[in-house]
Amino acid sequence: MTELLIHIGIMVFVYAILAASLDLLFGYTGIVSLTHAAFCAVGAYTAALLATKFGAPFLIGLVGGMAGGSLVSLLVSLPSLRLPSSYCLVTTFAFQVIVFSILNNWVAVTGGPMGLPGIPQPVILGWRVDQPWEFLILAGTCAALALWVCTHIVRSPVGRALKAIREDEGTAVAMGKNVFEFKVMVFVLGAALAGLAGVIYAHYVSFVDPTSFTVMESIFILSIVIIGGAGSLWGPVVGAVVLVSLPELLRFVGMPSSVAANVRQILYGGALVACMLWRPQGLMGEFSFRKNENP
Amino acid sequence: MEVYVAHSHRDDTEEMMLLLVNYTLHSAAVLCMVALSLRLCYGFDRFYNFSLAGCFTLSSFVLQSALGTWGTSLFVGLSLSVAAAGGLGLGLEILVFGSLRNRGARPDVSMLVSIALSAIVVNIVAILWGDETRYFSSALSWKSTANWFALSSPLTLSMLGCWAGSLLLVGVWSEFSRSGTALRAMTSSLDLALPLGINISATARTVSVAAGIIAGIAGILAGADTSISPNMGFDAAMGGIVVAILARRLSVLRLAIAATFVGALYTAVGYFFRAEWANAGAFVLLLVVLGLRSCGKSARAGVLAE
Repeated sequence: MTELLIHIGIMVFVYAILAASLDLLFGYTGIVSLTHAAFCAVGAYTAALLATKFGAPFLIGLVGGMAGGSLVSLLVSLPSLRLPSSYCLVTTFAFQVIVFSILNNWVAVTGGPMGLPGIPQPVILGWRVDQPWEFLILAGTCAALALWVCTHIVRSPVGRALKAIREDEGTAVAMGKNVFEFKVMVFVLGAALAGLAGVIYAHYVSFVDPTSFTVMESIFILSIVIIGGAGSLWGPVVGAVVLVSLPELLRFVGMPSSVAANVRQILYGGALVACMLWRPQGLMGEFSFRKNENP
Repeated sequence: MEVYVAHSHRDDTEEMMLLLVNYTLHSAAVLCMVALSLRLCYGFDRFYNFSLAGCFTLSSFVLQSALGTWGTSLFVGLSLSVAAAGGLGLGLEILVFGSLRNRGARPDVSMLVSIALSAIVVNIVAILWGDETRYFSSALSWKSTANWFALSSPLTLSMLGCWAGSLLLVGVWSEFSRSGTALRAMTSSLDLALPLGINISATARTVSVAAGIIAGIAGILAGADTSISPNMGFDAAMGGIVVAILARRLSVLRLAIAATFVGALYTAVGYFFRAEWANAGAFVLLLVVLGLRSCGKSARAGVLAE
């Protein structure tokens, strides 16, 4: 039971990082992106390749994973962020599909559907992280750092510019803000944090394969942000606690494992739709994504 | 001996060419119908309604069950599956999209909801029918071997007929009927349509049923061509979105040309690389096109403005 709780705790921290970084894009800047699982995948695969093929230490993998996520996001953001919002969503969706195809079909590098096994336990300045509770501390520390970065950005003048872009892009341009530059900056930062989550995930499960980074995973991360509350610092954390813990409750219902995964996806999708219809600001959010309801 | 080898080589090349032409036509027909249904809804909602992937999947599974498990005739099976697809389109419009429209949801957020809805339908289908790949019963085994008659096989003729028929019907309907005129007015300006006395919700419901039925027929044809699985609608909708964006507006000719182009791309990617790369290849093409449209004269002319 304790091991299960620790596992849930680690996954909550991983998803809290992903959701908080996506909230910078979605909640504070108003960019709907479906590429976050792909950025996480780039981080995870970069760290896995560095560790297994080159024997690189954890910290090098961490930096490499975050840099990899950032570089790929730069590639995504340059064509996407110039487009209107619904086209931007389509292009991010397209990138997610392309990254998944590469992971699944470029067998020589990514291992294809078989993935990359044997990712070693991290060693940080002589501290070997091999017990579950040690991973909990590592994931918690990284989540706290990610939230600290997000908090500082949101409360800085940059954060106010991002909110201005979210509320009315035309007005932000008229005020002399370089909207495209701000959007690219927040996109790259969000991807770097997603890469960080990917590195922790890869070292924790010691195996990565493409099925962990599908478009459904991106929808799940968005669901966490929306249900927790977009445009709020604690919303993604609350969302991660609720949505990561929820499937564990299904274990106690006695549902057959063959349908449990499908039921979980239905619950996530249903919660997202219900939230958009009846409580678009989520549990703790301040922004509702409706034209007439924001102050 | 040399003559025989030459003949054999020519026969192989001919057979391969026929297969490629056949595959291109089949892909183009399905993609065009999905893109048509997506474009119909895009006109007034300004987002690509991904939940039509659910109509695509549901209709083929209903038909498979009707012909296989329930033992109905082909006509009854087709009627049931088309009704299921249209009903799903109408139900989602009434329960979700109409409500989102009335509450002023942003187009990208509505599209996100449509993706979530398609995921819900895919998972419900997987629970009800199972995850494994299925095939239609002998009533819809229309495939023939790759020879010159393949281009006139019942499946290819049905696909080409449905493709041309759906384009023609939508073209005539949007041009000459009252609801078609209302749809065009809503496409031009949703805000102005209301003072003009247009019943927005009724028109949206009509369009949703039509789009659901067209997507459903595309699903049946795709199922008859290859196989059916819960994720088939998701893949088809991705290709459909590429075609719809390349076509740029609800024009019969543009949709047909864009679908043929993407169908040929699918065939080329499958032939030279692997079929699994097809959607990725189509999306790379889409990104190039959108990248070009978003800069230079196209961007200044506001062709991507919502």
